[in-house]
Amino acid sequence: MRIHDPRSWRLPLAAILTTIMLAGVAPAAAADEAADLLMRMAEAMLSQAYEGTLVYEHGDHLESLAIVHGHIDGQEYERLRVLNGEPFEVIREGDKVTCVWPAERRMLEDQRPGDLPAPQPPRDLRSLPQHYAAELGGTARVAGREARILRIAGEDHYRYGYRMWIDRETGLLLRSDLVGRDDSVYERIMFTHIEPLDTVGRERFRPSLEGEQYSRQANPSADSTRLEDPEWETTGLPPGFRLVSHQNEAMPPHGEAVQHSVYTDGLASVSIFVEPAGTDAMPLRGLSRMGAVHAFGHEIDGHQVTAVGEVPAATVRQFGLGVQRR
Amino acid sequence: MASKTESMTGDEALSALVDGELGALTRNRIVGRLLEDPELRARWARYHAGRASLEGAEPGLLGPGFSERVAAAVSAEPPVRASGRLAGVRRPLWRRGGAAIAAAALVAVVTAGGVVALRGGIFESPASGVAATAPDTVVAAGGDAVPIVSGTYGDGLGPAEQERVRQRLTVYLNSHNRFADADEMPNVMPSSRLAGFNADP
Repeated sequence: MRIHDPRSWRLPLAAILTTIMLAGVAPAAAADEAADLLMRMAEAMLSQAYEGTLVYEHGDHLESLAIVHGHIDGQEYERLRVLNGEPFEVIREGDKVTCVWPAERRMLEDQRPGDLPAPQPPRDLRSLPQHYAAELGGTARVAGREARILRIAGEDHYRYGYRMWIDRETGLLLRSDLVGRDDSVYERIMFTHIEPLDTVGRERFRPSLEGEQYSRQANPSADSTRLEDPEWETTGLPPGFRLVSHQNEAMPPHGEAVQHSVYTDGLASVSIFVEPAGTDAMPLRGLSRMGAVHAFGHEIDGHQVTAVGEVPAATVRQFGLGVQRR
Repeated sequence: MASKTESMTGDEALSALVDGELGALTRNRIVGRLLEDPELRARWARYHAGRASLEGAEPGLLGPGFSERVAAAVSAEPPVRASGRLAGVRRPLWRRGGAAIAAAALVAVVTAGGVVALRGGIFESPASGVAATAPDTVVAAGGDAVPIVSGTYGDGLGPAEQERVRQRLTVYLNSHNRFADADEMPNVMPSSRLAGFNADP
């Protein structure tokens, strides 16, 4: 009769247990490091003053933009100017957004409605939204600065992933690619030059237009009211998406009330617009694509439904087809 | 007999390219030289940055490392003249961009010996309601991939109808970006989208 010496399997068992533990600890540490980096980036993009130039590539468009960002009296300011083609700029001052067409001497002011949630400070990104996974990559140089690469993968066909190049010194986001599951790039932002600033003056956020000779108007879509009991709802949401807000908007150019619902999975968002059919001579039917942004439109029960978001086509289609009267 | 570009010095040709003074054929030849000559690309970037400075842009706008892509974009664009634009005549951005991205695709193929994957349509019928919609792409050096297909608006519409749908979609996009950034990760993407989609309304 053969008797096993208990000590004979202690060594292999210890090795196996150690391997299992290390296999568990290493990814956990890497995930923590990735989350730390993401948190640092989010905080830096909100709090850091900086200026620079960047390239924004979306679909068949390529825009060169100049940006300056900072805080004045506790309020976040940002000015973004398009440098190629027709002059255009966007100025954010807290919740107020002003679009400026200098050549036409025209400004459009837009204010986030007071009863809607204001932009939130960075939440705890240590636990990434469900259906996403983060992975740390190597290092690279962007805009002459050392960057750490972070990959955030969408875990199904309903969302894109992100590749981010984050400045090792400041935490600023130097480059961001919105990528599909096959690593195709749908949208890209990349700084070609960036300069952290200690302070930034109010004069940096003045629009290019000066004097009185320009037209200034408020965006009618800013006349929004929050809906507590919306007439339309979306069923069969793609996994991970949740409702953020319902509101009625007076949508240009017809000025009719449009129900606007916003959904998010924590990183990407989708808007659903429902309005009486017939207000538009050329309503959207089927799918459209503009870089990373997809849109899907169809008519239901005498109403035009349009789903728009920086998500794959399958996602906006599912949202659009899921809209029904409550 | 030497052609006009062959008789020009590199600097003259670059200057003419940046100033939009070359015809299409000549422009394409210069771009071809840019693709083959890194030193020429670097000089082109400096020229363009210089002109951008004169027009009020920061000199750091177009670094040499980004010259291939932007060279293609500029080569495909008509010259922008501050005082010469016809009132009321606007060329839709997506049309200008279409030529630019085609040139960018050419750049990627030539420089990287990349693979062009073309399919008949952008959207494929989803299986069981869910499908990945991979774009047509050019795979460039370093694993980067750039979309090369123009924006497509609606199903089965002609160019004029697509343009009307595009204008309508811009209204939806503005509203979407205005509300959507409240819950997103802080970055410059929403503002850039706002700028990108409104630059040529």
